[in-house]
Amino acid sequence: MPSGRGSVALVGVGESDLGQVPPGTTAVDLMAQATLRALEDCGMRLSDIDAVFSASSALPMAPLNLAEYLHLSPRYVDGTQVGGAAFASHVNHARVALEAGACEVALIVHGSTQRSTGRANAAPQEVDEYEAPYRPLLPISAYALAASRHMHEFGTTAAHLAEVAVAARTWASPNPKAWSRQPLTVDDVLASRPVSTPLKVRDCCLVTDGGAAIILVRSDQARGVHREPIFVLGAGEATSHRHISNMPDLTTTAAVQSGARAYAMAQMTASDIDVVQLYDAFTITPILFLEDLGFCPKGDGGPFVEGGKLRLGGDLPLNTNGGGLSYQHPGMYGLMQLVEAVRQLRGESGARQVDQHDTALVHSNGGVLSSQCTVILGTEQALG
Amino acid sequence: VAGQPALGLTGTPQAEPWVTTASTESPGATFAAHLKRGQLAYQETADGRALFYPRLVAPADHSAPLNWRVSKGLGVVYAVTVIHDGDGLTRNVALIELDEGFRVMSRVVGVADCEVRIGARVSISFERGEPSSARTYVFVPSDA
Repeated sequence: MPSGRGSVALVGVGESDLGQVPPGTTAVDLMAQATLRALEDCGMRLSDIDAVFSASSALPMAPLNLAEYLHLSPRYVDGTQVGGAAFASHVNHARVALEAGACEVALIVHGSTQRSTGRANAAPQEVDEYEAPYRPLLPISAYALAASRHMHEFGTTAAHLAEVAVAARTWASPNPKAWSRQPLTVDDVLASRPVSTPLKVRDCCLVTDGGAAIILVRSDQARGVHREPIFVLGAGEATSHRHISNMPDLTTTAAVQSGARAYAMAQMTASDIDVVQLYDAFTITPILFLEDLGFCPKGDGGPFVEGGKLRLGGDLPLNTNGGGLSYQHPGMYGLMQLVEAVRQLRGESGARQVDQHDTALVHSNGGVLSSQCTVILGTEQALG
Repeated sequence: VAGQPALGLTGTPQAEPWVTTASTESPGATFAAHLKRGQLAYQETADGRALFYPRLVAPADHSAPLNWRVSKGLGVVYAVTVIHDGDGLTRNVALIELDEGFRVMSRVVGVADCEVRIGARVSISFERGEPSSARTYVFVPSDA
């Protein structure tokens, strides 16, 4: 067995109150609430947690805020902040820490009040002196630039992008916790207000409040904690740049490398994956990741999403909670992808439950297509 | 400044090795001095690769020199987006690939925002930026 495959498992998942929380609620309030719900999910106690992994756009020392709030005294702390990919990265880091015996029970947690407090307060952007004079609308314009290049090189269309948003909505519609559930058509997306071309407002993720938490333990302990542990079969990280002007090729992301690392550990390929969660802050990102993670050849992402393949009931179940586009997007969305993957693998997703659910791929993205992390999860059966 | 040896740890070793006097001007200041004279400066690594943004050290071992160069200011539009403000105003933001082999963020002027095309040849121009009055480089359509 290659190093890492199946060594740790997710045993508890939880989300805080979502959408729009009462005025004055803080990001740490939501982190703490999500933590207690994740503990309740697996029957563990606060005192069991001895490692805290967290990141927050608003709180540069997020693990400290959470530990103080809940009176935790972890012996292992990781505040890796690589944007929306941070939490998938935390899974990989927690895996290594658990394998090494540096901790026994790892908490990964996030919270944000980006809807209530506004983006400027919740997620201040760095000012880069070589980009700022041109006033890009970051991060949107960076993704728009990538989309423009993808359309130029491969003939991807605005309708292809729109289909990603429509497919997400079909999964959100039966999800009672989704923020946007009303029907959406390709024409609706195409007719929506342009923000940073080719991206329109319906090509962009939601801005909501919310938090999430997951609990990991070593696999030999997992079976005693939860009746259905979800095993980490593979994980891989990669980064390629910080500024969009330094991205080597705007149509190929470092998901190529992160995916290859995760597939190698899991001993799997894209064809082995039942449920897919691809970070969808903007409609271009799932198209890029479908290509870079081997679900279709480079450049074919646009035609690939045609014909309802990604929609509820389609051939490739993608972003099955409704994604960042229609479910929730509290500044950074990555941890909610992991929560949804666990729910699908356990068979707890109700009206949106997919039939075949032994393996899931979660791919998270951070910055401006900068950081990429791929995590492959599986049931006991997939672990083999 | 252009063509002179790169910044680097070339000063005389001091009693305390962490105190050096080699760098009298930051890379950003060197770049800004060129810009003030209407030049887009960039750096070149020892093996001849163009590098942007300006750096104190090369992305290699610490003794690899970085040489300042001045771009001819000719290139192509690599990617472009048009930002729509709520009040009906638009502005374009483009990534320009310079012929020397580096990319910058900039704006294409002298053509409607919606007419900026990926692959179009452009040449550099300079204007006063907003909100500060610092000089910035922009690009105009070019036959060159």
